[in-house]
Amino acid sequence: MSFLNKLSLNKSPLPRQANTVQFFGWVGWALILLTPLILLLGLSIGPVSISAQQLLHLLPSLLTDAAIDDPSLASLQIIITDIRLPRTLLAWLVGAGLAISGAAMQGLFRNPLADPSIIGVTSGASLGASIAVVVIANGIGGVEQWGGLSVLVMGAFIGGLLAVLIVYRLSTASSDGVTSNSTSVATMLLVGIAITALAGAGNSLLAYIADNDTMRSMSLWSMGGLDAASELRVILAGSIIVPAIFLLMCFSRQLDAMLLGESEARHLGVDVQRVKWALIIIVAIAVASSVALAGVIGFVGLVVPHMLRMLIGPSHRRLLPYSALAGGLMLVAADIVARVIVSPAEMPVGVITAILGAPLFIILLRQRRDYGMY
Amino acid sequence: MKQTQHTRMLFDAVSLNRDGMTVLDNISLALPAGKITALLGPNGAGKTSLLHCASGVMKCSAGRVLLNEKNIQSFTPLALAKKVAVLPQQSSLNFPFSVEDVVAMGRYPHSDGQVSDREIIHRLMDILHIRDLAQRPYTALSGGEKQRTQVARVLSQIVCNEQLDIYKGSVLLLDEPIAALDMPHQSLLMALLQELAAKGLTVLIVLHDVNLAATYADNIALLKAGRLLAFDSVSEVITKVMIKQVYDVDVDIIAHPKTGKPLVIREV
Repeated sequence: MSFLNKLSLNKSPLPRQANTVQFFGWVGWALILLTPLILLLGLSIGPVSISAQQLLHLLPSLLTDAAIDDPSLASLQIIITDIRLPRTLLAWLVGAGLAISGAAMQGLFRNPLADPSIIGVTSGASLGASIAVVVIANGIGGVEQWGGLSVLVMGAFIGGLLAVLIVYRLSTASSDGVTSNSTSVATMLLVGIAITALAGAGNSLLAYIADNDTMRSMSLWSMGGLDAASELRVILAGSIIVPAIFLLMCFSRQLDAMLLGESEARHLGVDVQRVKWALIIIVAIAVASSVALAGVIGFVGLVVPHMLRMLIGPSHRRLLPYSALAGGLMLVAADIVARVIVSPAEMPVGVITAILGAPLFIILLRQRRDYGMY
Repeated sequence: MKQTQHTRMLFDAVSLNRDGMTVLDNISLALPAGKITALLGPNGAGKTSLLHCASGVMKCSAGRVLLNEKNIQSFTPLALAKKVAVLPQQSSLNFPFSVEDVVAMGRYPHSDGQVSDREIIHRLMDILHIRDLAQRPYTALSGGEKQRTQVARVLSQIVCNEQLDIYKGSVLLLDEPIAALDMPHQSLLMALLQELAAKGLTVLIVLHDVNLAATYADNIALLKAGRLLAFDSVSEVITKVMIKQVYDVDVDIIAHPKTGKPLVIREV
């Protein structure tokens, strides 16, 4: 019939080439194997070190919540159940949530330098927390605990969501009869910057009028810290972040298609507006709760997905779950360092992630070309 | 214009206003099934906008676009994607997906299953001479290679098996696809479109090269300042008078030595 049939069908296997897309298959396995390891380290390292042997003895009682006969082990059990276990779990959850949210935002904004705070949630949460503490509670001394959660936590959560709502509304042009309802990602970026600046100004103003104790507390809070981890916080984080992770993973193919360009994605059948809306809501809730429960922790959402993309390629089918695993790993490790480095005092974990993250980020930037990112 | 042919896509008195300007003015055009229609006209005539109305991205201010007598706007994005594939003028992909992954995205609306997807993808890559680039990162390719990758992706959206049969009633919209391609690949693409049209694919292609359109297209639609000046077979439309009316340049027309179709020679 045609020249099509004249073309010889080359079915020989492809030769290995230089300059092929990198895929380090071992990364997934490494992440899966390292995770329980780092969790165990998180339980055993601290001012009181608990050996692996002791952990093994304690494990059955941890699971069944039974009392321990041996008095020396009993005190260790309390350290684990009341301090280290919630802390390590919260660190893993927050790290995983931030990293997968960062990956989703990098996909949505088609920008590998995006991070979850790009939609204004982090600064909104900061401002919400400040308002709650300075204005409502009249200073850190007056912060009450309502059923285990302080007004600070609630203020942060609400503030984060409100900021995203404002950014979203300002970037969404309603149907003008020609194109339908559409959220401009480019506008979101700019509005996010503006709202972040505005929230920052509000924060500064509140810091100015607050008393010294309050200012110091808020300052520390904004550097991130897992020391307030409790069973309640872990349950809250888990019930928000774990579903968020699975929900985000459902959008892997759509995110891939959207990297082609929004109209190309639409032509492929992706309901772009709905995907944007869903991603923004999920990320807003996950990140607002992370900030509310663990303070402001930077760089995890930016560096983890960026680095993984260089190792395993941009396909979200792998990038999203791997980011979650790696983010959890990174934050548990950072928290261990935070506990150990000025022991028995603690460094805020956000400082650790920044000290590790910023130089790593600069190194990544310089190597972009090697990984196909121009 | 023979009316006996089956109409795949109908533009029914389509008008488009944007920012107070009339972009398209009362365009009525019936795309015949299984034929290649080339859309020609000067810059700013509204060709890309017409394609946007055809793909459903833009809603007409007046009139409607019908695909098999069903309004384009009433399709869900996924349902439309199974019938209509669009190759835009420029691609903005700057993530290092492998070439094979990019082509594979064209299967998104169908997802028949892994095996037949792979075969279709490999066949298309073979034809477009990008098979040996399969694992290269898209971002490292030349302009022409990127374009061929995008073409393969878009074709994988309308092709249903390794023999390149197409899904029934498919439409392919292309916006100036040949600009980045070298001459042999330009001819390759146009010949490939002819093959697919013979299998039933309806093609609407915006071209700047009048002769390429004259050589490969079945029908030509001439657009100027948002109005449809002519829509007829190649020999009816490519005339000195029409070219002058649309482009405002004087040309000579000769017959192609082999096919007899009109060839446009610019006057110097």
